[in-house]
Amino acid sequence: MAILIDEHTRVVVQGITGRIGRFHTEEMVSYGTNVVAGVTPGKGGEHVLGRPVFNTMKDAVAATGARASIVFVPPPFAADSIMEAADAGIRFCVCITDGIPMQDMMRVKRYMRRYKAQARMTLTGPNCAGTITPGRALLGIMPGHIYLPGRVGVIGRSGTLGYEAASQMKALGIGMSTAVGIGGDPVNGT
Amino acid sequence: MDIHEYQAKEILARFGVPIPRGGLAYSPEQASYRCTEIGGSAWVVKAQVHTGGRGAAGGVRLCHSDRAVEDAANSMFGRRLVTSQSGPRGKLIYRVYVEEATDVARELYFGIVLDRRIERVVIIASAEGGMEIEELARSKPEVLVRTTIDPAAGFLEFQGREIAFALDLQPAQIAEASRIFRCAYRAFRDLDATMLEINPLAVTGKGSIVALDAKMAFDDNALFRHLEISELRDRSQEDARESHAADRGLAYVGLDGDIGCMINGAGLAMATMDMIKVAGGEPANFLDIGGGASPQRVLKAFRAVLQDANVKAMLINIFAGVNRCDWVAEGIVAAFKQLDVKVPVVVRLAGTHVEQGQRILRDSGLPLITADTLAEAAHKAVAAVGAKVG
Repeated sequence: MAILIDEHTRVVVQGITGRIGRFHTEEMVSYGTNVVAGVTPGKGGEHVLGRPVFNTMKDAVAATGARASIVFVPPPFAADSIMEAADAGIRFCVCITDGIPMQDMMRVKRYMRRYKAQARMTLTGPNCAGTITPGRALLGIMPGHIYLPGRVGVIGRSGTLGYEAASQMKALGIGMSTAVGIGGDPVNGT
Repeated sequence: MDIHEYQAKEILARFGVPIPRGGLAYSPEQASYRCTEIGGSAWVVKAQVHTGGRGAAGGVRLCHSDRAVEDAANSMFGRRLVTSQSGPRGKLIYRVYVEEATDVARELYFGIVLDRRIERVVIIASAEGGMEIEELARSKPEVLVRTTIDPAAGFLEFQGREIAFALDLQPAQIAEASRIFRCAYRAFRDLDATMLEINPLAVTGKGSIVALDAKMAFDDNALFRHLEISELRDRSQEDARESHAADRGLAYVGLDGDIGCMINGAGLAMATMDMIKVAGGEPANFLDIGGGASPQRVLKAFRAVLQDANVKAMLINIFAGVNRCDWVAEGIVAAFKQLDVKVPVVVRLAGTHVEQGQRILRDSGLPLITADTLAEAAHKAVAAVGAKVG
């Protein structure tokens, strides 16, 4: 069962034109994730891997109907990008960025409470490996091939220890429905 | 990042918190000269070290002449001050702070911390200061006052008043105390601090309020926007091995065992250290090489592990996601070429580009011990301790 994302979920990559954003967009697309757009302020109109790049999250969401996003924005600007996603109506946001100032994250958490519970964005991270629905969609940076589709849900703080768990489970023939990395920072997502 | 007392006081004074007159000294002569500058007839000489518990360890001395100040400073310079909090090696004293002695009527406690559980900034205060807050929380939790700050609203005036009244201050002191609390909070907020402690916050015989001691720590992740704070860093107060590694993008913590570790990710690193213990060994260090590690960073990590003379075997455990096993393998090969590796090395690679990584290691012909799983790697590392190489 796919809980947070499946192969139909429309995804925007925030920071798609950076080296890391571009690399992982490629990985996610080849895994089957439905990446529909990217956002980098000032690079609107460009294309990355055939996906249109927008200047703002509002533009990207209006043009594509995306409901999930993944953040590869550098630490000084990452908190702002998360809040931009929340304001643009994104419902599920994964923040990969590591090293965001603690007070910035406190502000993000406070900001997200502006929205009614049913319209509020779910955030995982920062500093996490992302979320995967094995065999269907990957919204993160984990190596997809070590996850076996199945029925066990997994939640973890650590990235690489999550990989270790996934590969040991795969070796035992145990599959996962969804694996969620919530990140190891002191102030983290939802 | 931690800073010295005198630096924290300068910051607090800039934000409006009253502090006693004082000056820094790098030599006994400077210390005695400070007495003339400051004036008065009694001074306190305080060792500037990044640790608490200085008073009980002889790092704070009350003196009644400039000669006594010079002697006190002379006895401190060059010494390593070992306190209840400093660890057995202590901290090197190479600067002292000379301050006018304050006529103290009452000692209060005032602190600001980030409460990870509620993800908010919390003010903690107590009518009984001077002793360590941990001790106070244990012995008299009822005297602690706590107030949570809403990040959108900030530290409100009524919150300052509530704390001031709870500290049994006189009506005439309430407005000033509340002002001081809010100034301290502004310093904490504006400079991305993670901890601020004024202990004691003193009420003088004349009824004024001053910060007698001050401690601040800052969020390393926010230093990019606070150049002036980065400049306060004092490497002499840090563990040399750890700060050396941190400068190279590595998270290193030295331990007492003999199996050197090189791992990616803090969670996997802790799990690997646990597995070493389960297998009957002791890790010599925690080392996280981070994400996207280049061969150069792997080489530097090798160097960081091997500089510990206790290391008798090494365990490399990489589960690559953002990392690449081929880069790690290249780093390992480079390390064997450039460093004198005398201990057995166990390598376990998994994840991104694992085949290329294993091929590089195989083709290198190096005397490596390989493992496929974490458990196997841990057992092989424990078995390899002390084995001769080459």
